[in-house]
Amino acid sequence: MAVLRPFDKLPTLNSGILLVGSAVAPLRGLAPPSLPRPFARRGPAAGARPCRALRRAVPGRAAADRALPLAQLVGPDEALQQRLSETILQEKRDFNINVHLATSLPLPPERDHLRPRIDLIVFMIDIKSKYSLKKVERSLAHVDASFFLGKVCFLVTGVGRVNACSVEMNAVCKLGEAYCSPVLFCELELEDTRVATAQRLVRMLRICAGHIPGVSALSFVSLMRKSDDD
Amino acid sequence: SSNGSGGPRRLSRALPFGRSHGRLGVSSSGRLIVPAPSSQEKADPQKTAFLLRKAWTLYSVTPLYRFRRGRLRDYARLLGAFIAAEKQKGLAVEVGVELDIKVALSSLADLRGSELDQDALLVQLSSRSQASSKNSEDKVVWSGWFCSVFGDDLSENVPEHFTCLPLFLTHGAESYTSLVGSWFQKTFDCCFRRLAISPLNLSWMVAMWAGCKLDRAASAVELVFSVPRLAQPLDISYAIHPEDAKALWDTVQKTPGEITQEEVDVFMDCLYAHFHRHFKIHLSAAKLVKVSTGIASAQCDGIVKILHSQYLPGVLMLLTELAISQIQ
Repeated sequence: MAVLRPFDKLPTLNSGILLVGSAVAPLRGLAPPSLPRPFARRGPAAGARPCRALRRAVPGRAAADRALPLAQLVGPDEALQQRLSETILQEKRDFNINVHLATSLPLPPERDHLRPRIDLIVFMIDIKSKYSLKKVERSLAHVDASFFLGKVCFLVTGVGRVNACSVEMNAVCKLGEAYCSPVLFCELELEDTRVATAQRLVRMLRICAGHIPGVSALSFVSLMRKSDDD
Repeated sequence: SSNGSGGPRRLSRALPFGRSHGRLGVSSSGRLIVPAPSSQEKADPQKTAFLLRKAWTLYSVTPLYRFRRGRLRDYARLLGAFIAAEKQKGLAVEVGVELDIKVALSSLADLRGSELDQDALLVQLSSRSQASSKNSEDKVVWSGWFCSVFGDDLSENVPEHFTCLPLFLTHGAESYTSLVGSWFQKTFDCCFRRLAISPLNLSWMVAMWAGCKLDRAASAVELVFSVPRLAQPLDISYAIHPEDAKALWDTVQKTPGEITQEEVDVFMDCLYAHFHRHFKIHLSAAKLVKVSTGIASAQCDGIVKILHSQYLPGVLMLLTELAISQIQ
């Protein structure tokens, strides 16, 4: 089974890779009656969904080369994922960012040799969907333990609509504690918080990619945890 | 709360996160103690019979300032005058029908839980059409009642001169509700807000109510889900035989009289897994909008129907808790 390992590839210069994941729109099984059965096929093998990569070169630099900083977003709502990644890429920065989107882990093994080293994994949990929490919990099994030394964070979205809340907050906070990773809360439908969240993620990505001298991912995450306890 | 750039819907105010209180009386240990069903001798079922089998719209109310039980008749008179004045102003409540509205306020001593709870307050608007004869009975056109069942969290901390009745239930035309509400707001400086029930709270309710014992044959346990973000809106209704639901809950619940979040999660996961096995649809990603059991039914937009007098205090306790968490 493909397990993501943080250090199995060499880092690339002046770049950060972000992996954003979310559970796939779970109602693929809800094909309208006219469509043939194959659209409803969902098996464990189908969980390895193709991973789409968005990349954007910093203006003034040479054309983006394949090995760019990689952020992987893992989570349920593809539209929101897309919007978040676009907002991330619009952030002003002086290093290249590559955002990969996945609906769940494991990532398809056939493209493994093409995929650069992942610097930060963001698991997106939608407060309105219990399914997204379950999917994220299942995806966590496909991540190597050394990722949890500061290279993983949980992003809880939809917190503006607490009246539609299906996920219990304690469960999410416990998940963050169990995996020693920070839990960020945001509302991606609002422009302002989306931009603020993107800024936070870009800053975390810089640290995780090793661009900030003297601050490692692990020291940053223990700093965040200390301030949470206070 | 501000409008999102995408949609016109208002965002709901966020509860402080990490707060263990604020969801259905869950203590910091994550447990809910369910009060035993009331025995028939203590509460007079006749008095509370009018509450059953009606669809009540829920509101949360902040504490009333300087509300005096002794002045109920005065209040009724003032409210009646207010309604008549509003009608004169041209805020016609019903077009084409001339109605003389009479107001009655009364206290209901049976609807309370703990010692700190205040007696419930019932407001009834009745009308006598001018066409009908003098001897005909008044017809109740609108009723609303304030209550507090085990609302100790609010009552304990309230300053002097305030009366805590955080739950307000109405049945009748919306125009009357707004008239009565604005009079109470002006007179007692309180604030009404529509009470919404989140899917998380609805799942607590269905787990609790499905597990209750009913003497006679009960109606099916039904959950209604709405599926967001599809081209055509879709509603899924999932009905379970009440005995099966109760049997499932009995295997899940460890301590009788006590419910934890884990038990509710396991119960709901079993239902979702069963549905997925048959239809390949993940209900956990859809939005739970309505639950209905033999005891009571509840909708996410804050409409509740209570069907069984024996479990009335238990249901009211949950709703009081929701109202308090919306106020605080």
